Amino acid sequence: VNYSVGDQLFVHSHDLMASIPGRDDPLDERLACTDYLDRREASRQRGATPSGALRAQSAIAAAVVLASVVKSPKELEVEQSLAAANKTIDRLLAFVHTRAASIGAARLEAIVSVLCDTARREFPGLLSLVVVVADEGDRETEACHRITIRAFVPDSITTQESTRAVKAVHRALAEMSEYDELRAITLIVQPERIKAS
Amino acid sequence: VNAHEFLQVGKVVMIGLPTTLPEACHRSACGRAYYAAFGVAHAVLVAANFSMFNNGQDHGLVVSYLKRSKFGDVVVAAGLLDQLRETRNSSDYDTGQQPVRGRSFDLTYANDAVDWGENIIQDILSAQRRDARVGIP
Repeated sequence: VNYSVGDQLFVHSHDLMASIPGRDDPLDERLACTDYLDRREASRQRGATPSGALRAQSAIAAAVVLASVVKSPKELEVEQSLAAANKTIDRLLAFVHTRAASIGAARLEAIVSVLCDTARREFPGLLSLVVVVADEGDRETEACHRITIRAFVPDSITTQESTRAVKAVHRALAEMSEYDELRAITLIVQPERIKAS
Repeated sequence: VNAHEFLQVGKVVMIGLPTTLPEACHRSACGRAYYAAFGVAHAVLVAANFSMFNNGQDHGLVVSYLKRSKFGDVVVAAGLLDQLRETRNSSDYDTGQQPVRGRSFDLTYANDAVDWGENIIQDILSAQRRDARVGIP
């Protein structure tokens, strides 16, 4: 069974039951997650869910709505329901893909400037640089910015020279950035060899 | 299997069938280089008792752990591993008779990828000899 947790993220039931690093969720709470999603899916298929919730952005959002409309004459029962829902929501949150906080435009520009200076200095015989800064679309990383530096170099450059220069640019990023900034950036330094005419 | 061995396989593949299947060999070498580097990094972190998902999410998690290191070489290795993952993804997915994405994979490109993998492995194993947690608090 594949569940949708978060926008466009599909989680297989086996993964949802798996242990999460840093957490020690009891088995009944893991089961509560799959049970909750099963009931939500069944409810959706019966058409019992309000139309607005049919396209809910995430199971989390749906769970919050569900919890907020619970009516029970017994206050204790309500509290228990909410507590159970919160546990479920808390566990589901661990599966939602998170991104690092974005970096301000001025700071990002300063970082790119240093990286370009480093590339100019480190690539032997550099002919030109093409730099692209874009939002990171890769879901396998927590980064939110992608900096791609294509370094056009003569094809006489050796593999070792090229790797040394690529590492120097990565080192420049490491030296000027705090951990949160490193998390936020995917850096691609791509040597492009140009044959001599 | 020691993931480090994948790097040797990558080198063999890179030159193995160059006249008949050149680009497929070069692309495969990039994949082996990535999995060698990723596997060694993953094993080092597991040996130091870092928690893992043990599924596809570990690719991002390994990079995230390594970026926390106080050793500059390990942080650089993390960035290079992330970059090599991108190369590997392109080598395996940006294919087809008329590729619409990515680039051709020639011997030089494959050589670069294998060298990146070798550098990542050397830097992480070197850090492990200094500190089993490779400098991660």
